[in-house]
This record gives sequence, structure tokens and C-alpha cells, in this order.
Amino acid sequence: MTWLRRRRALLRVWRELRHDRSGFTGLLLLVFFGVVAFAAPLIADRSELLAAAGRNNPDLAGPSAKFLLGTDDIGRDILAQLVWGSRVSLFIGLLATVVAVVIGSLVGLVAGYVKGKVATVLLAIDNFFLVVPFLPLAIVLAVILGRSPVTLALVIGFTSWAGSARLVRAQVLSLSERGYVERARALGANSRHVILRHILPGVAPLIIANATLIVPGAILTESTLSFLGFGDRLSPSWGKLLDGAQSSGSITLNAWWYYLPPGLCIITVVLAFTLFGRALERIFDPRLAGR
Amino acid sequence: MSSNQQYSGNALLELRDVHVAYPARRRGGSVARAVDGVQLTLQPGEIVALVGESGCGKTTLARAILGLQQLSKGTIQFDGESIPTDAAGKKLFRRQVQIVFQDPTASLNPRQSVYEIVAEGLRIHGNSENEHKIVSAALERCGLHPAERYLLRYPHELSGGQRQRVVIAGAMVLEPRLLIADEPVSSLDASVRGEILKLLQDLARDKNMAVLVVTHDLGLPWNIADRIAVMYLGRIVEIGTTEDVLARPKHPYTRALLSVVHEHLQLEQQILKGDTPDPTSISHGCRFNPRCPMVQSGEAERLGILQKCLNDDPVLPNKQNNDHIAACHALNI
Amino acid sequence: MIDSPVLKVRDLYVTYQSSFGPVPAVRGVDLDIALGETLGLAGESGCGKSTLAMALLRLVPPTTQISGSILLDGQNVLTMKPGQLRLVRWAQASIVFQGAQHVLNPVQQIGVQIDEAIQLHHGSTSSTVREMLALVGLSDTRADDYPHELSGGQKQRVMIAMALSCNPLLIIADEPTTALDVMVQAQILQLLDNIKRERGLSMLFITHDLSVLSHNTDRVAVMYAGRIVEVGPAEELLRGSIHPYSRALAESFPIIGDPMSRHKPKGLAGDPPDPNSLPSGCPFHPRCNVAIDSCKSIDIKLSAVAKSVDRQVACVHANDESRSVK
Repeated sequence: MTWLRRRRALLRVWRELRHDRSGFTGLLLLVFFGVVAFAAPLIADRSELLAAAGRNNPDLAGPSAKFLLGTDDIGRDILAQLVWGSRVSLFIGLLATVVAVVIGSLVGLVAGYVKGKVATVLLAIDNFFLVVPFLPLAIVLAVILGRSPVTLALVIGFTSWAGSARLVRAQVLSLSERGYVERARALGANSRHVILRHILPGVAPLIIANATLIVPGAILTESTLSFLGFGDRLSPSWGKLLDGAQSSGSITLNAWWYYLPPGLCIITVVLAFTLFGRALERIFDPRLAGR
Repeated sequence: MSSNQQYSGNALLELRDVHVAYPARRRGGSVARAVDGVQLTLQPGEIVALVGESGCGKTTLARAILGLQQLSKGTIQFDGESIPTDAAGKKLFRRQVQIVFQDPTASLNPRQSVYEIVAEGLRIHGNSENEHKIVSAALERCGLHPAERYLLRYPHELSGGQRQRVVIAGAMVLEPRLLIADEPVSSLDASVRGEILKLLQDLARDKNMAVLVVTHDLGLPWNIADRIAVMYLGRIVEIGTTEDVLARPKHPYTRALLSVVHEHLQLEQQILKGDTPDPTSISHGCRFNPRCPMVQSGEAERLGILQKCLNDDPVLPNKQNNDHIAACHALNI
Repeated sequence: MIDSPVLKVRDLYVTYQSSFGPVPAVRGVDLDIALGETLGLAGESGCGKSTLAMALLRLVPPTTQISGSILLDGQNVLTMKPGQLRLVRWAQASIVFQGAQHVLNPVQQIGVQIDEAIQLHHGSTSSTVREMLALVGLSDTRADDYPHELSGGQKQRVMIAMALSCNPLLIIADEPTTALDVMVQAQILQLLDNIKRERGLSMLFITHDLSVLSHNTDRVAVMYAGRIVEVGPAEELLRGSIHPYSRALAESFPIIGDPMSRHKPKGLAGDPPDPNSLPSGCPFHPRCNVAIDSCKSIDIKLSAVAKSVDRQVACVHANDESRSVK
């Protein structure tokens, strides 16, 4: 019975998404990037990333038949870096979002449901993280904890959860006052039942929509960290490409194939997530719960 | 008719000197004495209406009976035993006492199907065998047949009356011995009212289930209640069989209420002045004295009870079964 | 027939646009209200009564289609230019809305809100906020209060004061006492009664609670599925309704003391129809216990009832001997 209903709900979401032009565009773009990232080994050879590979290649050469997006200042294939970089950027972006959403939702859920002193403490912590400028904090943590992709994702996630917590708490507060929650209690439900059956399903759409809007922020933060030189030293990423482009003076040298592609990729992915996330928000809007 | 039944055995529900007070909202503000000393007994299978205007405490009392509200004083006994305070005991208690709230739309989770809503109670108490059968039977018993047509529907696809039936079915699957209905038909269309009331009446009779209906509508008790208790500012000021109270009201408040609702009782219309009173400022003496027509017209003085009305809080005399009693000094002359 | 009625509605159709398509909320309504007369309009959700009320002052969304004529003091509201319409609104006819707490601005003092209407009709009315408050039984000091500081009954009085501020000829009261306590309801009805008599006001009193109409109206019209199904003098209609729906509606509210309704709640099976999907023929036939075959296909219009002055019923059984006016 529940699966039938779940399928129906998913179909409805799909149908609405198809109708929403901007949201659907966003989704298509995301699928495209996802495929590229996944199929990276098929598109570009990994060995091209090593500095050694560039030895025999012309430096800062424009697009040609061999190098579709030209080479960087030490002769490495930019397209290869771009494609492999997409993996890193997307991976860190997504993992960071998962971390942020998990922490934020838990904090929001507890603060909204339990209320009282626990909530006050949690909200104070939340306030702290909202107010502290996240980039300096992220930089400090990255330096302290190391700069592997996973650590970076954790760091970024850890500095981005505060906003979600607020949103989730507000929604949980509102849901706990609903008539059907009181009815559930009157039927004899304990908190576990109320949270699992009524609160979580009610707040899940909000969390999902919110998550899709955090991803672009996380990707941007990763790019920023890499650009500033605090990213992962070993793997390529779009931010790293931008850093390389800037430090090699490619802008003045008009080597557009160096700085334009990574910049455009970042912008496009961020835009895609935003469009998709906004569409999801529209679809999951509470007014639809009454439809 | 059940009102002529002679009740023997223990009362199903017994309230003794129940008080529920809400603390002051601001510093220096007063406590709200929502329920200020209530005695009430309910026998199995009887339908009792708790009637009053807003602020009289009837909803608070209903919630207190369910255990959703803490008592500040007094006891509530169900089936001869105090209401359990431990979690397991409370859960068992909840099986036996159920509630139907005023707004059926708010009581239903828009994301749950009718099946899931009705089955929820069973799942909470761990009775999953025969779930489908029990749910369908409950829906049909509450007038939604064939049940299959409704199982996969969602609340927004149902009318107000149908939603209330789903709520009632959801309560009935637990086979409660007492059902509290808080304004069960006020937010429904007028033409649907009768059917829902009939349903409640039938269920009470078939299952020997007691029903406590909380309402502001005086016609409702005439339709289905055996006894009626009139509440004012946290107290029951009059109680008796429906016929007695509505045809021969003893308390001036009841008389005033009836006079503005239905003129067929040949009561001269007495519109009380002032607003419905506020439980944070209950007056000294009889709580009704600021608005009592007997005090204002001077009749209380003529009867020589004015001093009592202003200084002594009248209480309900002790009652037996279906005695018709009221808390008014004018009755004790 | 009524000479120079304050309100004369003929053949009114109101169809508004929704995401499901056009919704025919009002399907051919004729109404007359004379000077100083109160007409009660009874019906449940979806019958179109609130749409009708709003349409009278053209307070409907711009995508709504209205046809027919609404003559307010002789002038057709539907063909007025916006400038003239603005003058008419509130000064000729005003509305007391349902649910005062949602209509009053929570961040404005009520004195300011009452004054708003007076200011908008600047020059053409000499009322003051003070007079208005006194009229509805509230003291001056209340003018500085915010809506949340007032009780339900007091808020409703403020709504009435607002409606009266420009001295209209007609007041449209849409469920003015629903959601109020019984005693407060009686107070408000008494207030309305006094005001009506003092000022010779006409009133359209809309409600779903028939029992309220017996002492406060001169004539009553019952609405179902966008049409008026019965209309006539108040006491006569309420004591002995002819249309099966009016009867059922009246029976839903028992007469206390009447042994016929003791332990016998009476209601109608089914639900009020959805204006989006009305049944064929007479829209009431699925719930009617005296429906005959022709009811499924023929939609009956209002027609005069023999043996009674000023009584109209839209039912095939209207003139049956067995169902004659009591």
C-alpha cells in the first residue's frame, strides 16, 4: 500500500518537473555533468594530468585537434583536467552538502521538536555558525585537518549547515502543532512514531529542496578554496584550474581556453542546481499538500 | 431510551474536584482557572453533552480526561482506577478513551491515505493482523461504503463530512469505551450534521460506548444526549437529563442561554450583557454574579440571597444518578 | 411587487476562473430587497452565497464572468464606470465580512481602520469614528486598541461600525455571527436589529444557520448549487418549507422540546455539490427523498406557489396538495 502511494507521488513530481521548463533544464544539465564526471575515464586519459605528461606538449597552446581545449602553462591537456576536475568538484560539492544537510536537519529537528533548554543551546550554536564568516573558518579548518577531498568536503559541510537548521526547525515547529500530530498522540503514539510518521515526511521535501540549493554553494566554496590555494594539492578541480589560469597570467595573455572553461562549468553547474532546486521547492510547496 | 435505564455497577468515568489552572502569561498576570472544580460521572453507554460558551473550560476538561492536559488538583478515575502516569499504562489507557476533534481537516495528515489514517491506531498498538479487514469494517460502519472506494483516497479528495467519518473510524478501530467528541459537527455543513450525529448515537448504542460531546450548540444534546452538563467559567452549574435541563432549566445562565436560542420554550429573551467572561478574572462569590439577570433585576435582593450571591460560591449539591441539580443560591431557599 | 427596491438583481450569473476551469458559482439568481427590508439568504458551502455577496459590489477577481443586472438604488452596478463604482462601494452598500479576525488589519488600531472608509469617502459623509463606536456599543477608548486586544464579539462590532461609517442604504452581512458564542451572537443580532430600525436600513443576511433567520429577517431565500430554490416570507417559510432541501436544512436544527427530534438527528445523505461537477437535471436530486424520474433530466426553475402570496419554489412538487403551505 505504501509503495503504491510512493510511486504515485514520485510520478506526480516527475510530471510537474517535466512541465517546469527551468527546472527541467536544470535537471538535464545536471544529468549531463553527472554523465561526464562518471564517464571521465572514457573521455580523457588520466595520465594526461600528471605534470610529466606535459613535457612534450606545447605550453599554453590554443585548442587544436589533439587538445580540444588547448593546454595549460605546463602543457597539460585542459580538457582532461576539466573532465577529471568535474569529478572532484561534484564529489566534494555533494558530500559537503550531505554533511551540511545531515547536521542541519538533525539540529533543526531536535531544536524544533524538543524545544526547551536543549533547543536554546542548539540555537545559540546555530547562531554562532550563521554569524561566523564561513570562508576564513573553512580555510583554517582545511589547513588544520588536511586537504584531501573528503576532509575538504567535511570542512565545507561543517561550515554550511547553519541555514538549513533554521529552516528545518521552523518547519518542525509548525508541524508539531498540527491537528494530526495531536490526534496521533491521542491515539497513543510516542515521540518516535510522531517524528517518523508525521514530522519527517512533512519536513523531507523541504530538506531535499534545500539540499539542492546548498550544493552550488558548496561547489563554489570548494572552487574558492582551491583558487586561494587551500584546496587539494593533488587532484585537479575547476577551482584549481582557475587558480592556475590566474597565476599563469592567462588573462593578460588572452589564453581564454584556460580560464573560460572552468569558470563556465562552475557557473553552469551552480545554475543547474539552483534551477532544479527552485523547481523542487515550488513542487513541494505546502499548498500542494492540499491539492 | 437509555435515560430511563437504571445504572448499576461502577461508573466508567469519575471526575472529582478537578482543577486545571494555566500559569500567568506574564509576570504579575493572573492564573487562568480554566477548570475550577468539576464533579462528573459517566456510565458505560451513555451520551453526555458538555455545553458552554468559549472560555468555560469544556475543551480543557475534555483534554484533561484524555491525559493531554495536566490537572492542578483533583482526580480522574477510569473504570475505578486512576489514570496511569507511566508510559505503558498511558498507552493502554489511550486505547480505551478516544477523541474526535472539531476540525476534521486539521486532524488528518494530508500525506496519508485514508487506509493509513485509519490503520494508524492499530499500528501504534501493535495489532497488525487482520488490519485490512478491521480498517475496511470500521470505514463501512462509519458510513463510507464500499470501503475499497475510499482506502486509497487522500483527505483533500473527501468532503468535510467524509473526513469526519474517517476520523471517527480511526478512533473506532481501537474499540474505545469512551469517545470524546469536541464540537464534532461545528465545522461541517448543516445538512451533514444530522448524519454524523446519528452515527455517533448508533455507535454509542451498538458498542455500549460512552460518548462525551463537548459543544456550544444546545440543539445537539436534544438530538442525541441522555444527560447534559452546563459549564460556566470552569464549573458545572447545572446537570441533569436532557429533558429536565432543557425544558425546566434551574440555573439563570441556562435559562438565559435557552432564551436566546429557542423561543419555543416560551422563555422571554434574556440577552446577557458583556462579553463571555475570562478565566483569569473570576469574580468573588458566585462566578455568574456580574451578569446574572437575577442580580441585575433586583430579584436576588428581593429573595434575600444577594449577599450570598456576592460572597458565597455556590456548589452543586450531591447527586444520585440522573438528578437534576444546579449551583444557584436561589434554589436553596 | 416591490416598488423602487433598494436592490434588484435579475438573471445573475457569476462564473469564476480556477485552475480546474470555469466554475459556475451563481447560475441565474433574481433577488429583490425593498427599503428597510431584511432578506435572509440561507445555504451551505459551495452554494454560491458568498460569491453572490461579493458580486453585488463587483468585488470579484477580474477574470470572473458576470452577466445579468444588479440594480442598486436604480443604477446597474455591473455597467458602472470604476469611478462611480468606488463611490457606490460603502456609501450605497457595504459588507460585513465573515471572520472578523481575518479581515481586520492586525497592525493597525481599529479607530484608524474605521476612519479609513470615512476618509475615502471624504466630504460625502459626516460620521466620525466616535459616533460609529457609540453606535455599536463600544466606548471611545477602544479606538486606540489593536484587533487582538478585542474579543470576538467586539471585533464583529467593529466590522459593523466600519460597514455603517458611510451611511449606506444596504448592508450585506456575510455570516456575521458564525463562530461567535451563542450569547454574543444574540447581542450582535439585537444590535443589528436596532440599527436597522433606527436608520431604515435594508439588509441581506447570509448564513448557513437557518435558526438565526427566523427572528431577524422579513423574507428568506434558500440557495443551493448557485440557484435560489425557495423564497418567501420568513416565518412562513421556516415553519413550513416546501422544497425538500429547505425542509432538510430546517430539520437539521432541532426544535428543543419537540419530541419528534428527540434522539432522532436528521440530516441529508451525501454532500453539498461541487460547483465544478453539478448533477444533471435538478442538482438536488441525488440527495432528494422525493425525487422522481424527471428530476434527473429537467432542471426546475423558481415558480410561484398557488395558495400563497409572494412564495416561490423550484421543485416539481411545489404545488402538490400534500405539501401545501402550513
